[in-house]
Amino acid sequence: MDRLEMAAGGLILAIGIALLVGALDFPLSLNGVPGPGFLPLIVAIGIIACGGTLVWRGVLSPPREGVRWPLMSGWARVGLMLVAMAASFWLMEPLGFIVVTAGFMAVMVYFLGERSWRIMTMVPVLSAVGLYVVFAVWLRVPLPKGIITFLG
Amino acid sequence: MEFLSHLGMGFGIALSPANLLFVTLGVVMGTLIGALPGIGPVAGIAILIPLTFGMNAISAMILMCGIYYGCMYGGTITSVLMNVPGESSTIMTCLDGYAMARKGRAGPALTIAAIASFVAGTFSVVMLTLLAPPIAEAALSFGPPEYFALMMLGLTCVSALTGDSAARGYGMAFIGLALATVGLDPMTGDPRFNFGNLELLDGVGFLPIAVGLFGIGTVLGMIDDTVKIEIMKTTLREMIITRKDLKDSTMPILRGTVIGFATGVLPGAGATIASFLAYATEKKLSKTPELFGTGIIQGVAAPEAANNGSTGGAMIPLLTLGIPGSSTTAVMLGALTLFNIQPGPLLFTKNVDFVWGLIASMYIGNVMLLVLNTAFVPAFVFILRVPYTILAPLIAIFCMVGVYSVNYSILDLWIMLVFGFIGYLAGKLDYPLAPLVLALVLGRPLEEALRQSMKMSQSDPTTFFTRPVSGVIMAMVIAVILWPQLKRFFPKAAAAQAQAEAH
Repeated sequence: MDRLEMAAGGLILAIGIALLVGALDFPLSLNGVPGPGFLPLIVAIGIIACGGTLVWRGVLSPPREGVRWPLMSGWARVGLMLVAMAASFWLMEPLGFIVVTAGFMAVMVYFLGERSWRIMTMVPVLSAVGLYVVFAVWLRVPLPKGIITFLG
Repeated sequence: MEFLSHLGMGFGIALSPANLLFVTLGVVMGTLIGALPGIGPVAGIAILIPLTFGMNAISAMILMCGIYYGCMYGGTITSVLMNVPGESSTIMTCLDGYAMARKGRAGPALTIAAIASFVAGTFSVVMLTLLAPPIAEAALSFGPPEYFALMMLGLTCVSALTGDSAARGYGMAFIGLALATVGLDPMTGDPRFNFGNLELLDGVGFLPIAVGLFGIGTVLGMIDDTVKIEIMKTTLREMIITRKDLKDSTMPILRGTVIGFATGVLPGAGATIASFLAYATEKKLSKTPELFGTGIIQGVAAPEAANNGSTGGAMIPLLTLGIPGSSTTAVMLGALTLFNIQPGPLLFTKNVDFVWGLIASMYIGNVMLLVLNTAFVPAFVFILRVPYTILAPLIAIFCMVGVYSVNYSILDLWIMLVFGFIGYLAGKLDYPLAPLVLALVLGRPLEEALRQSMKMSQSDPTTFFTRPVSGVIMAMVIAVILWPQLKRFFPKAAAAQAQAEAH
């Protein structure tokens, strides 16, 4: 039994069922031609068919080999990256782009294993300022200034 | 011969100082990105799209195309010097390229790869120049049923041919189509699946999903393992090739070029399958097939020609029909729509400057690629020495600011993050991302074409089969869907596909 295939197929199946329920809220046909619910219904049926096939294949197949899952330390780095990015989104507007970027880079560079003080200070500062110059100055993207409003 | 005057005008645009700068920048950035293991052209283009927002459409596309074929070559550097393919289309180059490097011949391997890339890239652009106008002209007579059939063919091929399971491919394509239905209904304006969120009325952004799947997904894949790989060294002096190297490579380059171009035109096939087919062909034609894999120059020349030859081929369906055949061209199509440029047959009549400026820039880009990659390879190798501890967070923050810069939307950032994790897991579980991205890009025009066709035919679905062009294309769609059952009648093609998937 290939539990990974079953899990992935089950997730796809669930997405299909949710879409099917949602699609039924829209008219399938308007004045004799397909309406807003037509394609979502077809797509939902397709997703359910594919999800069902994958679950069924998972039941029949032997456990899958060759999936290279990371070690615990690898999962920790992946989790840290996701959490650090999520925190950056929360803090982007109150603290501003430069502070958040410098903080994100400092945290990530340190936790990914860098221990040189020179790199740990230079990389965050240069990347924050560099990206600010490219996007805010050159491309005129109104990046949040947050607590550094004096930048104008 | 109208195309010659158009091409002349295109060179006038492409040779402007600003566009020359952008093509050079694109090729350099593409080579650098391609050289980074795991980051291929699709991730490179997706990540760098926001940099093009201040530009006009032609300069933006020139930059993106430069990145596209720059990446194709950049992947070769890691294949030869590290035995790690920069992206999937350079897997075959590892076999003989790295073996040559171990024999102290990394320089000639990289030089012949640059020459092969130049020859194939230029040939494919010449073919694009010659074939695109008549195809676009023929496509002018296409109506919604033909477009629906063409989009179905693109989606079906990509779903069935990428990855080792058609069910996974089709599943991902259907999910992409489901995402494309979010937002206002294209015909009636009814809001669908926006869960009361006003931002979602415009649909789920293409860029957050593409950057998430390919950019953040790649970053997560980069940091989950910390394998240290030895990098072979090379100097400028070692780049010189002998007359024998050139003679041995000539025919493999020419054959690889033709195989690459032809494969590139087909939706779903792409550079990876092209490079495999070219390598397999050379091995089959060789008098000494046992030497392949031991470090012979033919084993580098053929796949390198094929993967660059495919780039021009892939641009034909994109520019003439507006239908991308791969994830890279799907990302390009998505980017173009951000500039209100709609690729398709009308592009050749409505946006003459754009299309011919772009084609002309491809000729220039190939020359730039040859010069840069023979003279500056040692400089490009420098990027391989930047540790992932710096590179990974830098790419992540670049993705963040890039996605934010489109709509200044924090919701887009959350979408990017979620799809980043999905992209990472999909990579682990061998779920192909190309069908999802392609379906996301084609979903809306596909629905419009479907509903317009049904309206025209008063809801008669046989309209797709009774019109000659759409009928032939729909027959091809059915053949692709039934391929798993049909392939027992084509044992050679089935064996080739199985081998390609194994790689």
